[in-house]
Amino acid sequence: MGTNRDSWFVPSLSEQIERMRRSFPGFNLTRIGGGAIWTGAITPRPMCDTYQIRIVYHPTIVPVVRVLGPELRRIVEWERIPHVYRDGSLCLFWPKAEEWRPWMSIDSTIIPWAARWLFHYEIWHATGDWEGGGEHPESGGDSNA
Amino acid sequence: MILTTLPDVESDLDTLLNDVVERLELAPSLYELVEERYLAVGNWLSQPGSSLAPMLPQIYPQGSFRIGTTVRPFTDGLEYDLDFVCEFGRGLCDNLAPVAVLDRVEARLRESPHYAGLVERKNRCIRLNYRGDFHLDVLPGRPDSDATADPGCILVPDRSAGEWKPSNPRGYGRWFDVRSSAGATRTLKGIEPLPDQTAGAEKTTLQRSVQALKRARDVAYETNPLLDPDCAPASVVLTTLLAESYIGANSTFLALLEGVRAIIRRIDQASGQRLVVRNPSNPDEDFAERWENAPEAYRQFVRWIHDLERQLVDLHTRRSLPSIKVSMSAIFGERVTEDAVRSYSQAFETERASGMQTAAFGTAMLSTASGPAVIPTRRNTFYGD
Repeated sequence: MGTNRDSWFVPSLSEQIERMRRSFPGFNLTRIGGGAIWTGAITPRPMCDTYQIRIVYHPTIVPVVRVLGPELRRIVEWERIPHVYRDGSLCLFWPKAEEWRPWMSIDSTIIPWAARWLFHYEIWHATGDWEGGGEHPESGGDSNA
Repeated sequence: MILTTLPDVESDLDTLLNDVVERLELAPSLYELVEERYLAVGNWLSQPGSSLAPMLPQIYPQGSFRIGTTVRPFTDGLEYDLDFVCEFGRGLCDNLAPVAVLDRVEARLRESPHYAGLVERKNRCIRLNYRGDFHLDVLPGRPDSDATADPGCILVPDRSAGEWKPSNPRGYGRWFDVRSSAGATRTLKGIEPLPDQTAGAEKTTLQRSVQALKRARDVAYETNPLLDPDCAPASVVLTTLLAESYIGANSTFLALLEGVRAIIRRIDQASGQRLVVRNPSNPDEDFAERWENAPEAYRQFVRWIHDLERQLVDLHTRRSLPSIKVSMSAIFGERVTEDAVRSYSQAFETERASGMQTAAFGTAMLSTASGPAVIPTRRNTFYGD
């Protein structure tokens, strides 16, 4: 599905690993098949909690991010956590303008987007609203289907 | 605020706290109304043709309006209080008892059909009650010919208006300005203009920490069943204690915490006696004199200030936004804290949309920090950036 440009600039697994080692040296790396799993801790803002996340990467898929701990919680039983897929992984792409492309490097996209997700998760717990839309209206149900 | 270094807990706490405090300021429209009415009343009292004119009245604000530390009342139905002094010229009413001077001020106000309906005689001042908005309290005063310390020393009616007692609102204002390093010198006019109280005006850290402390007092005394709101410590006492111990912290939160700790130290040093809090520009005036005959009120104050210190320390250690919001709400009030948290979240998104947000190496902390140890997080990031 790539364009010419995609195939020229797609970083190799080694290149992703190298960048992750530079930017997030505290993350643990496990190679699997042609891909990798990173686990490590991030803190979105000084007043936020610190979260263990896991990123599953393979050149053929959109990276999958899960929060290992502290456990993500609902505010009330009957309302699901916004922007979480049914399998529990995070939907990082809202508003829809930001999407993963294979030529992206994980350290400059997935990880900061996960940090942003966690920031808004905490804001949601504090205020009841998912405020990640900025001036855009809440994109809402892209992920809870 | 664009920082180029990584934020820390204090700077983010300050962002929230400063926002909370700013939301407690007078709305600009209300400020304009206050100023208009203050100037109008001042004119009525002092203009040529006024029955008071021969006594050369000088009108100037005092209290929180003078030093820029007003906070919105926490309790619905309570109104802003604007105090101002109507100081008569040296020697021109020395033989009059306080009650007589109050009578004259009241009489002058009642001469105007406009004010007559608003006048309320209080013990030591004349109140103009603009119901639903605020009160203007006129406090008559005269120079204290005995005091050599400071030219601003005046005498004002005591609580029962039986006697004259020493005060020095002008000197206090100057002292506070110096403590907060705001200090432009003020020129004396017939009617001194009000300092700018609106949310946009730049406040010093000391001013903000005083506002925060007053707010914390208001919330605690209204919501804690062990504290009697009628016994709450006077604002001037809290303000003076904080200003005396202030040593220049830039952070509102730290200035507040250090100020509260300094109060606790002073309480301890007083070895069981109640605190004495003198006007730094008039040592004959003890702002805390009401505690002399109210030991239970003093005990509650001591209990409250210790509680507050624990709450602030606890707030400082929390690491999650919902938990911080709960803690701040308990201290400063829920609605204003929630508004500040929402505003913080919007500022985060604005930062993100500006393209200037970076992620720190190691923690992925998002901020506007720049330098070699951060990754830019522009939307369409190409490999090799």
